Amino acid sequence: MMIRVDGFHIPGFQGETYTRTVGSTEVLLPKLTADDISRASDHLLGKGREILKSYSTDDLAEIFGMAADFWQHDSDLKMEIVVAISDLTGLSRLVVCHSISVEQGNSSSTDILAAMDRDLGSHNCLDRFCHDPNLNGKTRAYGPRLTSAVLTANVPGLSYLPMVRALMVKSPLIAKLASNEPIFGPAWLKAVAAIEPPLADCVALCQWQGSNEALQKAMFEPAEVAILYGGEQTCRTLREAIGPHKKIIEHGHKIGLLLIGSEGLGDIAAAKDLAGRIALDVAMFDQRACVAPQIVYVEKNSAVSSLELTALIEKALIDLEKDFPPSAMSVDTGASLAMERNIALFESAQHENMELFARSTATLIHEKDAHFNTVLPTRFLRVCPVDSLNDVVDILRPFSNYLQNVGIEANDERLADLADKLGAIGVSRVTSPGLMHRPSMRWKHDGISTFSDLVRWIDIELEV
Amino acid sequence: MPMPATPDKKELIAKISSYINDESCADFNSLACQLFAYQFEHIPLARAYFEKCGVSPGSLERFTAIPPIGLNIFKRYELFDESSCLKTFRTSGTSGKGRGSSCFAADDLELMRLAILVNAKATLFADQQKTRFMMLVPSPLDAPDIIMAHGMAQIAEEWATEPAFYAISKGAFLGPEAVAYLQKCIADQAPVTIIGGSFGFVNFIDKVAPDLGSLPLPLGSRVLDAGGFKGRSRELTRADFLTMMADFFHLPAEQCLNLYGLTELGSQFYSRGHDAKKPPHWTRVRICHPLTLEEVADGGEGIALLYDLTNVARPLAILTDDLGRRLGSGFEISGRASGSAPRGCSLSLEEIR
Repeated sequence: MMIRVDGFHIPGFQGETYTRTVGSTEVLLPKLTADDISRASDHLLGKGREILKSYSTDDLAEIFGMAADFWQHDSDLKMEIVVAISDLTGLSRLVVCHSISVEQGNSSSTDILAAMDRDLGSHNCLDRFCHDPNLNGKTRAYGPRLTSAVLTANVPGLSYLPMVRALMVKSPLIAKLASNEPIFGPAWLKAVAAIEPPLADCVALCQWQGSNEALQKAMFEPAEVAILYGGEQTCRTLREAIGPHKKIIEHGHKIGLLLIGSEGLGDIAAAKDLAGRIALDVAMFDQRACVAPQIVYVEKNSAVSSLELTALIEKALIDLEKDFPPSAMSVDTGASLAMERNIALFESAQHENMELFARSTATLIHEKDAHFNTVLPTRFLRVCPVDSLNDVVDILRPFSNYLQNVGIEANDERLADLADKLGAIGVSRVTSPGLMHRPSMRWKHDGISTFSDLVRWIDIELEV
Repeated sequence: MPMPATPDKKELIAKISSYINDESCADFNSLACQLFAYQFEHIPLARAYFEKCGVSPGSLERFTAIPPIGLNIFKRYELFDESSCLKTFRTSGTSGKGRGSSCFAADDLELMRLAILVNAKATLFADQQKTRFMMLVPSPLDAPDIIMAHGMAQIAEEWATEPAFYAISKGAFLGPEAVAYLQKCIADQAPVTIIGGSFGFVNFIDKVAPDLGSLPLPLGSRVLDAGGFKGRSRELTRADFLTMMADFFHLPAEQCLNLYGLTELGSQFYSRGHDAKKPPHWTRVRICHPLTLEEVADGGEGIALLYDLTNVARPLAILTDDLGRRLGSGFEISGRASGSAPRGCSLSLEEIR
């Protein structure tokens, strides 16, 4: 049976549409002109802004919290979207389902308001003037008249995040959805509109294939801020298109890493538990997310060796295949992985401490020494032995632009010391292995204060 | 099982040469197993790998069990027996991952020459007709480390009625001279063989077609292209390419041959018109599932695994990153693995390497 889903949401759009079919999914897509996008922007700047002004941040957080709750439970819409995302991205249905639940599980109204309070002092300053104890006066914040965004795909559920952030600061959003998975955004908005219909008029989610300067210009021009997701080249091109005078909040591609101290490898039982947690961080989102680890640095001279840990992670990854079935692998990806495995096997024959573990879809390379080298994200880890976790800081320093999440297994004292050193070179979140895959809404994503970067302020100072 | 005596290189090359000349005089599997035994003994890096894979001459019964060596490995390591290297060919490095190299001793070059000529006689010159030659590839003097330039020059020496005309000289394309050469062939009604990179043909025709319309080549003419279009500014399907040859040179599809070859191999694989490629009898091509390396069913897609008996001093079993389809006893190549996998916001191999 075919599933028909929307690959756009543009209030008042009357233009032509077409369908793209992948597997059992038919995606309805718009044939957009720059005028269509300008009309949508006008609508957002007029009606959209007025609607948002009528809500308090507490109201909005409650609505988005209800939407998050909706996505954590079974429903016809959720099942339809899970099947469709699986068709479009190749991810297995169970992985899509887990990914959506994890993403939305971090987005209760309490989470949203706490994230705002971390950034802004008080979320209420978006509703009215609030007393600021550090000011001897009152302060109030305003979101952009219009926010634009280029959204990412392949991490199911993620496209809702810029919508929440913009709408919470009462800024309408116009965004380009990812080409290969343009459906979660519109579906999330449908769920929101079912709870609070007027909010459907506050967002326009557009879609076009490839780059199109005219459409891009029409989208960016009326917006005060642009939120960008993408690789280095994509972000560079978009920055040039946006020009120098607009605020840009950029989330480039990042890498997740694990640092395992000897205290986490005291005995086999502890190592097995650790391996299971690491495997979960890899299998969630099928290693496609920035939070997923790619390299594991392991302290030498632990009771359980780095080689033994590697074998345990391999087993844990295989065991997880039942609950987190791997993506269907294309011949292209398979061939690329085959080349990676082949050279690792060849090199492991030349070096005593190097070993390849490749079974089913799990690929682990126990490296002969420690270095920084990414992997093909197909449930693939490099395990690097190090004399001390402190040595890793120097290895990572040249790659600070790419650092983000680090899972550390070490005692509290060492964790705090390492976190300080890692923070200084660009890491923006430290957590335990097994929790890498579930950053909270409250985390300052990529080290950015995502709400305060969106707003501007007015202060009332009547006393000196 | 007792370890078979390792054959020496001279003896092996003699056996393989005889087999290339006459398929009935030996058996592919037996020669491949003997060659494996030689390489196990004489290519130390490969031996360590074979041992790691648990395969030795004593345990090997079928050539399909030889652990293949991936093309990426040639970019990092020199895999060669202890012979004295006379000639090193290099890959173009267009994939951006470094250049692979391939060493040949004098006897390896002789064996390759034999394979090239026997193969060309059976395919490109199956009609046994000598022709004039125009090359859209550089001469071996201009490009001494490009294996295609070397091989094509050997074919021209054997099959050309007069010295080949090279339309690429010192990196420059001699467009007007190339047109004049072909017009002379037409005026003389002398059949011509044009050899070049697939994109070289398209470039040539794009440049001259607006003025000339077409250049109907004399009967008996033929073209041989190699390389395909991946990563080029224009990508043509095989059918598009053949249409272009028909429109511009007035050549029927059966006079248009395509060649698939690698710097790491001494042998090449030809196809004619729309047909599949047929491996010459001293080679085997298996289109395999990329992770299990088991051969796919007829019609299935996979990764190309090549076995070549002319690779004596270099490993005979090569795992390519070329994607192909198994078509009966032949195959076709559809492209090259991208080296990437679907991802979201995770950092990729390409962004770091």
